[in-house]
Amino acid sequence: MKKSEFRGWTDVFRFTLVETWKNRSFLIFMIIMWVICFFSVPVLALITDSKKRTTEEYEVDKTNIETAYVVDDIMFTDIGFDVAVFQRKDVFKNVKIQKIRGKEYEEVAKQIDEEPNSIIIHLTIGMNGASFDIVRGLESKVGEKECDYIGSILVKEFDTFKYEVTGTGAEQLRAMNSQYEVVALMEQEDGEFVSEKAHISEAKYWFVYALLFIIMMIVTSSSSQVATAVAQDKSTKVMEYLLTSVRPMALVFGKVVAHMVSTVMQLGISLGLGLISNVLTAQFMGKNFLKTKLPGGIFENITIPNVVLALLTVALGVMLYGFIAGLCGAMVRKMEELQESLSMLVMLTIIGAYLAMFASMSMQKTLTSPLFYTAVLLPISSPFLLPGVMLVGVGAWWMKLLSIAILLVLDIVILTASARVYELLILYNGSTLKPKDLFKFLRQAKGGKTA
Amino acid sequence: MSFEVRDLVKSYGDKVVVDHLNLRMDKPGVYALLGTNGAGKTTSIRMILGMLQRDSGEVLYNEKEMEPKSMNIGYLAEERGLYPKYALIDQLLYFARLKGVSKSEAMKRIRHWSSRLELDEYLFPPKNAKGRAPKPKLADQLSKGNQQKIQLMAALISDPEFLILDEPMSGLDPVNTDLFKEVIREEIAKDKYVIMSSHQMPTVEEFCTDITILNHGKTVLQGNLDEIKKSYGRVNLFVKCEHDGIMNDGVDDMIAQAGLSVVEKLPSEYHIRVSGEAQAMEFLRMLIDHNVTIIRFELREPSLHEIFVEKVGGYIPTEEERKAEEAKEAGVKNEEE
Repeated sequence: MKKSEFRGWTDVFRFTLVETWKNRSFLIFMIIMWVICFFSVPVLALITDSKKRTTEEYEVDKTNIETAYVVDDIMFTDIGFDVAVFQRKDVFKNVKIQKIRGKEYEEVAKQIDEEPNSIIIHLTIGMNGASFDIVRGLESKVGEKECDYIGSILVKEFDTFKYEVTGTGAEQLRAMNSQYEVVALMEQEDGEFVSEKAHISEAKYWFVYALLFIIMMIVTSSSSQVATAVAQDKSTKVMEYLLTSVRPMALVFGKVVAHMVSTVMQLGISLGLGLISNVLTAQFMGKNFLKTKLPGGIFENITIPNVVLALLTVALGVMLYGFIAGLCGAMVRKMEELQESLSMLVMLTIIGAYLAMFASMSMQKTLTSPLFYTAVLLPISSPFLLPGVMLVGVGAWWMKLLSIAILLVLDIVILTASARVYELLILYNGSTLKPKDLFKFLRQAKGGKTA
Repeated sequence: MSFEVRDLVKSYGDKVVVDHLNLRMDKPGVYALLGTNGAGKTTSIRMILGMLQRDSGEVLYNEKEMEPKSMNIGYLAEERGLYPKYALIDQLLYFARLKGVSKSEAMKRIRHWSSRLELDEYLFPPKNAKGRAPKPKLADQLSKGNQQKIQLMAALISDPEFLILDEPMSGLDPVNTDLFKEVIREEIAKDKYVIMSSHQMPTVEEFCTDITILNHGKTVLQGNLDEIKKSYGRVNLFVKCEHDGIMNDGVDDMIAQAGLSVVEKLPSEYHIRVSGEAQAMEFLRMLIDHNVTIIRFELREPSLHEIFVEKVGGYIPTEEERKAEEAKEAGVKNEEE
C-alpha cells in the first residue's frame, strides 16, 4: 500500500460529507432527531416532576392540617427521634399530633377519610429502605405542597438526628451505610493494582451498555452509508470517471471517513443539544435533569487519555466495518443488489455487538471471564465494548492497548488486502457476486492474479 | 512528445481480452481504436488510464511509464455517469477538484463550457420573477444529450493534455453531433493527444489519422488510415445510370460481359468491384458506346466502414461469389445424396 493510493481522498471526503449533509431526507431526519433531543429534557423533567414527590422544601405560609396521626412501625420514636419536629415551623405549630399505638395502620387510614383536615405520618420500612409516608384522605383539604413541606422537614431533621446520635458527618454516615465487599488486589508490572474478582456496578453497566448502543448506531449507520455510496458510484457509472483521478483506495477511504465524521457530527450535535437543553431546563425550571437521573461517580474515569483512546478505538472500529462495507458496495452492479451483498456485514455487526453486549453483562459479576477477554480483544466486538470499558476505568492497560493494536493491525491488513480487490471489484460488472466470492477475489489479489 | 502502448495484455481467467496491443503516436493527433462490441477497446482504455491492472506490457508517455493519476487526462467514458440527485455544479466542481483545478478557476471554466455547449439554462438558470435564484438542477432532470454535454464538460474542465473519447457522439441528435465535432476539432487544434473509440466510421474518418482495429482482443489492422486505404487500391466502382427498365437490363448484361462482380445492387445504382482503373475505364467506354446516360461514375478506395466490416466481420463476397458458393454447397449436397 503506497501513499499515492490515498491521493485525493480529502477531496472525496469533502464532497461526500457536504453532499450527505445537503441530502434532503438526511436533513429532515436530523432535524427531527435534534428537535427530539432538545425538547425531550424539559418534557421529561416535567413528566417526572409531576409523578415523583420531591424532597425539596416547599415552604407554605398556611395549612389546613389540624391533626397529624403518627404511625411508627419502625419505632424511631423509641430511639429518640421525635416526629413532632416539623412543628418547629410556625405554620405547623398548631397542628395536633396524635401518636397511634397498638392500632393498625389500615384502621387509621379509614378514620382520616372522614377527617378532611387530618393526615397520617407513617414511618415504615419498604423495599427501598425506611420512608416517611405522608397520607391524605380521599376528601382531604390538605394540599400536596403541605405534605411535601412536612416530608422535607422530616428528612432534614432526621439527618441531623443521625449525625447527633452517631457523632459523624454526612460523608462518614454515607460510607457507613454503604454495602461493603472484600476485594483482593494484585500488583501489575506497571505498578497498578488490579482486582481479579473486580466487577462493575449496575450504574456503570448501564453506562457501558448505552455507549455500546451508541457506537453500534455509529458503526451500522456509517457502514451502510459507505456501502450505499460505493454502490451508487458503480451503478451510476460515475466510478469510471472518478478512477481517472483517484485510486479506488482513496475513494473508499474518503467515503469511510466522511460518513464516520457525518455520523459522529449527527450524534455530537444531538448530544450537545441535549446538554444545552439540560442547562436551560435547569435555569428556567430549576431542575438539573441529568444530574438527578445519572448515578454519581459515573464520570470519575473520564480522563483525557481514556477519552482519546476510546475515540481512537471507535474510529478504528468504524473504519474496519467501513472498509468491509466498501467491499460489499463494490460487489454489486446495481442498487437493488446491495441488500443481499450487505448480509455478510450485517452478520459480522450482529455477532460483534451481541458478543460485546453479553460481555458487558458479565462485567457485573467478574472482569476476568473468558467472554470478557474475548470481546475486548476480538476486533469485531472490541469497538463496541472497549470504549465503555475504558471510560468506566476497568480492565488492565496491557489488555486495552493490545486490543487497540490488534484492531489497528487488522485495519491495515484489510486496507492492504482490499486495495487491489477494490480495483478488481469496482469495475466488475459480471454476474452477481456472493460473499464467498469476495474471499476468492482476496486470494487472487494476494496471489497477484486477476479475476 | 510521444505516446506508446507496448505489448499490452489482459486476461480474465483463460480468456485473453487484450492480446499484445501495440500502438504509437509520435505527434499530437487523433488515434482511433476500433472494434466490435467486446473486442477489448474499453479494457485497453482502462489499462491505459491505469484503472485496470495489466497482465503485461507498457504504456509510455514521452518514452517514460505513463502515470495517468498524476497526468492531466480527460476521459469521456462510454458508459456515461453522473450522480442523479446531486446538483450539477457541485459535481463539476468535484470533478475539477479531483483534477487539481482550484474552485475559482473551475467556475471560470464551467461558465466557458456552459456557454460553449449551450447549457447555461441548466447550470446558471436566470432568477425567477421574484428575484430568487432557482433550485440548482440535478442530473436526472436533464435529457440524455444534455447529460452527455455535462460529461464532455467534465472531461474538458481540467484542460487536459491527453484526451480519451469513448463513443463521444453516440446517442446525440444531428445538431449536438455537430456541436461535439466542433469542440473536438478545437481540442485537436490545440495539439492534444486524442484517442477515440467509436462505431461511427464516418466520424472516425473525419478526425483520425491512425487506426487500430481490434477483433477478440487481437489487432487485425493497424496503421495510417490513408495508407491503409491506398493499399486496398481503387477497386470500388459506383455506377448510377438514368433509370430505365430496359436500359438497366442492358447494364446488367454489360457488367456480365465485362466480367465484373456486383457487390451490391440498389434500385438505381451499382456497387461493382473492379480489379483496377483499367478495368473501370474499359467498362466506362462500354457504357458510352451503348449510349447509356451516366449520372454517377465513381471509382474510389474502400471506406473505413468497408475495411472494418471486412476485417472484423469477414470478407464481403460479391453476388457472383455468393452464387458460386451456393452452387458449390448444392453440388456437395447432391454428391452426398
